[in-house]
Amino acid sequence: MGPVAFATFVWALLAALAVVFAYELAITLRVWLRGRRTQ
Amino acid sequence: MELAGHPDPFTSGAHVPSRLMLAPWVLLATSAVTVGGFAVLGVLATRGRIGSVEDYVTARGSMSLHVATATFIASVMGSWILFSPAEAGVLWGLPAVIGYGVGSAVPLLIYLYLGPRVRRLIPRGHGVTEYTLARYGGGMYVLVLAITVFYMFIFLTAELTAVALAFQLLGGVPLFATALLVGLATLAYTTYGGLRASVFTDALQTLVLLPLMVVAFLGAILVLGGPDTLYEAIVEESPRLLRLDHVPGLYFAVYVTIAIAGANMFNQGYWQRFFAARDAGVLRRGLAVAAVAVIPMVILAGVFGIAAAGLGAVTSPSVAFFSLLVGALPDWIVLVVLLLVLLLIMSTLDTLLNGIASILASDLPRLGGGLRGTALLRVTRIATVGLAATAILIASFGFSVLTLFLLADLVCAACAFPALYGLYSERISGRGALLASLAGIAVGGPLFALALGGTDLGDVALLFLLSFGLALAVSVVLTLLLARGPARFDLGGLAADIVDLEV
Repeated sequence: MGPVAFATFVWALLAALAVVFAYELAITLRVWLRGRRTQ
Repeated sequence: MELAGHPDPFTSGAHVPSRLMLAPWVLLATSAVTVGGFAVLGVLATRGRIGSVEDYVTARGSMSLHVATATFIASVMGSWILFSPAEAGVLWGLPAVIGYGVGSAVPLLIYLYLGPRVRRLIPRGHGVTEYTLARYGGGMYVLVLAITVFYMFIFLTAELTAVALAFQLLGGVPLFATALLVGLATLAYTTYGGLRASVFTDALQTLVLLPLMVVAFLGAILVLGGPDTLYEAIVEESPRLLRLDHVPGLYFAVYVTIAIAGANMFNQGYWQRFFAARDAGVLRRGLAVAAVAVIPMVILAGVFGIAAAGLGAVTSPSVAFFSLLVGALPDWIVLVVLLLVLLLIMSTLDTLLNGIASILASDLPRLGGGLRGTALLRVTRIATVGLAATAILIASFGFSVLTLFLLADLVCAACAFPALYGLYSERISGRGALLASLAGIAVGGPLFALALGGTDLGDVALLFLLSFGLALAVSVVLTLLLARGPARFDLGGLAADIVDLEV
């Protein structure tokens, strides 16, 4: 694996992790906001 | 050496580094606040909601999508991700690390298909042992009960031992202090609130755990000079670790996948969550997101092992990640990792504790002379406390359980297909499934013993691959051969055989 591929690989992994967090946060907030609206 | 989510930092002569990062009281105080906070939240969230054993072990139909996703992510991640992938990286390089990441997602992908089927066939089910008894009868049931409890208990002990050692490495905290603190706090909310508490805290832990992981990994990469600097250091020190065609690394990638997949088929925590999900769609999406999440987490953790090797920071492969922390990273990253370790350990510990409790709850009535209702709930709670106390004790002494863990993996790899094929075939009998499982163990066992005694890394990887691969292959082939006769079982009858614990 070359230097560019390695760097891309590492940044892609970090980005994937960040996306998973964003997704989890988004669906949690959606449920929370829906709950607040119905109260 | 270690594998498959099996933290065992003792096998390679790990030692406490000369420069401790943080004072023991700082670590203990931070830990007490964190684990105590989650314990209180877990208890408060489930107060007045546990009226029966069913509530305690199943929480049937209660998990919505965000909770399902979070609980699967939290359950699949243990403190092992900070030990084992990094070690695989140090020993076998990038192919092993990538294989480890992908392999960690395999059980979740299998459950994508298996979970909804289990829900359909056994709508009032509780777990894997109960299914085995109803489908196969006594012989296979005893084997599955033994390996399920054994595997989960060893996993529990290994996780507690790992967190205790991590704290000893980072701040010289005595093993018993960490094991006791983390063990008791997790036990408090799990014993009180059962699966509901476990799932609730998983949801919170995942929301904290994911950003902490991003911050810890990103911070560490930047502090170490970025990917380019790391690359140069690795190429200078151990270029083979970056080669994707490094053969022992490929051996490792395959056998670790078999080991992880096989063992997790008997992780009761997942089976409980099949039934706790609101519906099959929620279950599938939760599993799918967790499968996607686990891959980058494990691979990134493994890359740090390779980086540690490149930077010459490895005192022992099994604690490569922590060697890197102690050697090169600032205190704030160490503190973030400390919190990460705590969340990882709690989220796994509560799943395992309640998983074992649920097996006791569903199996004790058969063994304990008609235990029911509150008496069954009380006995289940007491037994959970007893198991946790034993695990805390073992972790306090720092005993290595690696060999037992690997053995459990092998047995699980041999039994997984015969046990689960019964969900799809009406032709395989209990005797056939048992025979196929035992044959797999008998074939893999001797090679496994040879691998344990090996010294050359390439040979060891190959022997483990042969051991796990043949155990799986023999059990699969025999199961299929023995399932060729007439139908011996009506799968439609499982739903009537397996009913609520209160009935």
